[in-house]
Amino acid sequence: MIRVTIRFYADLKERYSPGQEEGVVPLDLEEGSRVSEVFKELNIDDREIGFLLRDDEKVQKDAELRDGDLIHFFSFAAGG
Amino acid sequence: MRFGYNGKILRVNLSNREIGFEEPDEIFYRTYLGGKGLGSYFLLKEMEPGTDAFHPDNRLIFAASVITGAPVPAICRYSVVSKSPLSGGYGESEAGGWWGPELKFAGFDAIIVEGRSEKPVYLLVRDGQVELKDAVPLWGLTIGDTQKAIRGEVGDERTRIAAIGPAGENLVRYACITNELIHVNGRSGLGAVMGSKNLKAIAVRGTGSMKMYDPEMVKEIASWHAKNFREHPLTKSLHEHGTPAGVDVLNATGMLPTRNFRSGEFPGAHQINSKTLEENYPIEKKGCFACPMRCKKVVANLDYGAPEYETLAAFGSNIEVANLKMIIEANELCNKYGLDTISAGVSIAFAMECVEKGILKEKDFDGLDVRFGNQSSVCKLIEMIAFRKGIGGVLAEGVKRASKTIGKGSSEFAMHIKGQEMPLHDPRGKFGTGLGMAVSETGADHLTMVPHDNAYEMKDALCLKEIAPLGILEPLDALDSSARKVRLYYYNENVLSLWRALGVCNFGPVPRGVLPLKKFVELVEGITGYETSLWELLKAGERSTVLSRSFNVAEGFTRKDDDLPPRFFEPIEGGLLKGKKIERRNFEEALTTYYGMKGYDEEGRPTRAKLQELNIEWVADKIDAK
Repeated sequence: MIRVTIRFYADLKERYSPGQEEGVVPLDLEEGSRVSEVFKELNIDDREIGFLLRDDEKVQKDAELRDGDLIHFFSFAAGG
Repeated sequence: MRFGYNGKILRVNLSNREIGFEEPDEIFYRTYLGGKGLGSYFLLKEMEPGTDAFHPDNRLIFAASVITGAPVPAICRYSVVSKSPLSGGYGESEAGGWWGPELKFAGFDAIIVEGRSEKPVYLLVRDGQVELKDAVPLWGLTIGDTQKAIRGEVGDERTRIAAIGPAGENLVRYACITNELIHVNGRSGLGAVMGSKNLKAIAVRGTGSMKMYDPEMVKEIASWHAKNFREHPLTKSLHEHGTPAGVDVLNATGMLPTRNFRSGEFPGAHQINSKTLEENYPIEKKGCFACPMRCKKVVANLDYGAPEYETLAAFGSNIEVANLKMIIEANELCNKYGLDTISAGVSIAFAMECVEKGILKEKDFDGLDVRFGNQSSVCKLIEMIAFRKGIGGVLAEGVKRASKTIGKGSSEFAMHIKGQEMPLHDPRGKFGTGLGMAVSETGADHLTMVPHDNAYEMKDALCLKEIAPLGILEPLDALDSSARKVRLYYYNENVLSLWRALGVCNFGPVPRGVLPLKKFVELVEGITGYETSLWELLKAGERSTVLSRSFNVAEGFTRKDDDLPPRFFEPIEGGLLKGKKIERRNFEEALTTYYGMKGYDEEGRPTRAKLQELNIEWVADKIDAK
């Protein structure tokens, strides 16, 4: 098993980590899991996701997760 | 048989009070469509290069389109087009509400105003009848009082009124035009052009109906839209929270302009976000003609709505004020006097940086404490700008001119493109949007690429799937500046230009809304009876952009005008993107590639072949095209 941490921002925080001030959700996954597993586990609507970061690096859903990873989830950067 | 449009354009000469009509043929309408297309056509065709924006010869064009007025969500907008007093080039701005459809029901597709009235007047258009009415008693009134007075005079509460406030009368170069108190042609300083003509308002009322080719098909598409917009994450968020939802997202992604665009993260963002707005104020949802999305959030007991994202950032993060109450007051004041909140806020941020750097002192502001984070001076400054009092007269000229007057290196942080103040978006986090702001014919404009780059980053991103019919099939990093990004921008620009030519809201069809491109084409067919295609429509969108660019070329604009403020080539100071900057070489390469894709020469001038391709060869003589 590996342990990863997911951090949600802005509107995603309320939806996927309710009650968590920092928007942080720890998750235990099988070794070799990909980012797409996080979507499945947390029931994330991928239509809401703008981009994902692992440290400073943008990652896609097919990226393999490593133990201790912190993945940041951002929605579309919209405005008006 | 004609469907969708009236075939009639109203002409008003305010100098000699002549009123006339023009009846262009079907090919004209199908070629230029309306809005930006029609406005840029007449502006380029009729204006002598070098004419001052406040000269009576400047044209002020109000244009709906061949589809405006159909009872379908998100297609009710109209364009106002004129020479901009901010840029000295092409000026244009769109607004929603009810004014556009009402103009169509009154029997006209557009109004072209020229000349200058000796005394203040307003134009009244009622079911094909046109009158110039005395506006001397209205001069000096706020937007709201003007609307009330005109409705009282004509005795019809359903009269739709596009008016200017004191800022337009006082020729503040970023004065706006407003209908229904909350729908604003905000940008390009078009309210000042209206003021220079002594034209206080255009009131329209129509009881006519619109002939559509296939009303059943139109109804079906309208129902589809109404049924589906709540299921789409972008339109669902707009319905629930409006554009203020952008504050949190942009702050998290390091793109919330802070301290005059030096940082991308504002520690007080949570105090000015949509949640704080919704929890502390009685918010109602308002919207536009035939649209169930109702994305406009208004404070129930106020006249002029509630701040949109741009205003929250302009009077919040960018001047470091974390006080929502003050931002709402600033919004109310700007809307009452008829000031563009973007330009007003960015002008105040500029003043604050002048004070911070010791270039201006407290005495220059009649003793006001104009420092970042100091909310007490903001509303007073708005008054000074609207009425050109003291240094307000300098700031009313816009930051480009103000920095020339003030000097001492202040042009380095005067945040504008082509004289128009920056909208509240940082191109260091989204290269395509930045390129768009640089090349936009109106100057800094964040709406030539919508949605912005972040919507196209994931392999299976929703927006990416939605624009697959354009041939955009692969994701691109937001900071990517390659030719692939330029292509994404160019194709997206054509879509957005089409929306402006047809008066379509960015929040209606994909990629920022819900209606698929295929269904949108069917909608145009159902209204107009044209057997058309996405190809023909996008070419019409592109045509309108090439026309507006040609207007600028005729005015002497060159490659150096398609640039970003120097600050964006420096590292951003804080937030997720800390340290990121735009590399000058990447920017210049992208600009050259964009010109190449568009059929422009190295100075950004459309080539003769490009004009021929778009079937507007008549433009070649205007710009000496090779």
